[in-house]
Amino acid sequence: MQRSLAVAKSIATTPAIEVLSAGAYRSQRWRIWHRLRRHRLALIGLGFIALLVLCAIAADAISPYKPLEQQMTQRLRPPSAAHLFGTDDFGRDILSRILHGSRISLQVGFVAVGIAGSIGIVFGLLAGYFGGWLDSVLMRSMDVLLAFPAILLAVVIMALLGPSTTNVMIAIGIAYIPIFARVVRGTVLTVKPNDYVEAAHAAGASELRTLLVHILPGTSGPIIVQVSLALAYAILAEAALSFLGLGTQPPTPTWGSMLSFGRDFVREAPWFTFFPGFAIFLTVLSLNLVGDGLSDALDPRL
Amino acid sequence: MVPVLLGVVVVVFIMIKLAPGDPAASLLGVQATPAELARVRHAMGLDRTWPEQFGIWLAGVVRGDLGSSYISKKPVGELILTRLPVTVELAIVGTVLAALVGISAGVLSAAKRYSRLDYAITTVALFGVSMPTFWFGILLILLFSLYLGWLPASGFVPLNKDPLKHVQALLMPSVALGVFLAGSLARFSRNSMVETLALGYVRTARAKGLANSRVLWVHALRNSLIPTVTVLGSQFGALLGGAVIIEQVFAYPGVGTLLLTAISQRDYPVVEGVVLVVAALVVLTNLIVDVAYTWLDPRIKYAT
Repeated sequence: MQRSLAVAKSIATTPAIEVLSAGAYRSQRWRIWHRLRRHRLALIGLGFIALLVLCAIAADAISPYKPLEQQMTQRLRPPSAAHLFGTDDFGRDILSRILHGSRISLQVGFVAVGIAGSIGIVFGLLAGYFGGWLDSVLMRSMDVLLAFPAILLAVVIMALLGPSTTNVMIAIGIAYIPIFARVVRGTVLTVKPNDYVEAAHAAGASELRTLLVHILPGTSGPIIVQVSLALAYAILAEAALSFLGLGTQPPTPTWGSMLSFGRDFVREAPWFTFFPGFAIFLTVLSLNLVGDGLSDALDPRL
Repeated sequence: MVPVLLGVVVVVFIMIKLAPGDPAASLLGVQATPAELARVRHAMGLDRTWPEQFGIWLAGVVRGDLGSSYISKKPVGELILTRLPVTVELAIVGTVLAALVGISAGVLSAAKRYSRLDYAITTVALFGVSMPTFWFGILLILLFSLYLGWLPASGFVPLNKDPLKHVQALLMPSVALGVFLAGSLARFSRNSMVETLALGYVRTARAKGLANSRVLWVHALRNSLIPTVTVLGSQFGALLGGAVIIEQVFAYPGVGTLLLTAISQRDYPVVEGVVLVVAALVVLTNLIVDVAYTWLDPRIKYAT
């Protein structure tokens, strides 16, 4: 759902984001970091994401129980000292499953954004820099991709490829390519007319060198903002696919599938759905806070 | 619009070709003899070249013939037509609720900038855009159905059967579907309104002695709506996609449910039909948004 918003947002916000020349980039980077450091909410978001990454890495060591360990005598127990977030219908510890589930969410998030980003950035660079028929073909293809609602596209790709974690990454990655392509193309169009690009050409730099050394760094600001937002969307999309039973298959714990199974016990064990959903909410909220902070830090008008 | 629609058609055709399994075998079942398979493959045109197959399929699509379901053997177009109104109604009600709440909240937030109300609205809006819709749907069921008993937890009642129950059943799914859009509209319309309120003509309107509410809701709102309409238009398609999930939460019999059932049964003609119809609706919505721009800002003119 959020992909089309990101595109709309990118159209609305790209010109407001500071576009940096290659030379100015390094010195400006510190200024942007300095601005971001003053954005308290963004730092809280960043802190939570860092904590989550640590939890995902150390899940085996810090989980009170094994995520697949069943204790049938402990079925659907409410939160207590023994089970902080309660237990599920197989007597498995929900906290331990959420900690392990963060691995899938983060893995899918980062890899899907990696796929979407690397392809989208290349498309955006080529379309914006060379223009002409290449621009038309690439951007019309992105328009076609955007005609399919992201979650629908991901659902159908999963239906064709079959449910697995790798396929979730591919499906979400493909669905979010247009976000990056549009943002990067828009930024390239504002960077390209700069004198330093022409100077690089005059000095004999090849097209490839101009593109990679002089244009790409200038697009990094909007890309960084999009990465944090796309991560939020990708994590939501992964949870949605798992919720629909099309993502990572049981018994591997994922936040979306926990929510889906918990739904059947929502009356007698509301904690079963509450905590996995709250984990998704906090993660997406943190990424949105980081995205907002980065947008502000990169906005030259502020 | 036409190249995009053509692209959509090509993508869906490629999906059909990539779908695992032999369509003739899926249609006939496991007990089909090779001779029967060959006959059906010929009748379906599967022994022709891809471009020929595409031409035949496209001609069918133009006539509204999307093939037949492998499972129920009914025409896909008919299956979709019976489910589509349910999903479209859900998406439209979700969009309207989100627009009313989101835009009003954004305008109020901008008018009372840096007040407690502004902070409250921006916080709630941020929560709205961070909320997994399916989780929010479950929380709504928990509160309004299971604890308070005000609304039905799930199900769908046709409008002509019982209008009141129809609305009751529609309320929670459309709110759950619209929460993300409401949040993003509030954020967008606030920012857009803050920028508009700083413009000279707003100051002139105030200097003329116009009431603050008139300046805000009549003079500034229309101009500040342009970026908001972009979000609204682009999100309607997204809401149609989001309906796939929300329909599962509330056991709603729309195209989302049709799609997921078709996926679980490997009923690919239905899957492709749904995808094609939803994508066409999205393209159509984008066209309507473009027309809305010209109404909002008469300076925008499109070449005919």
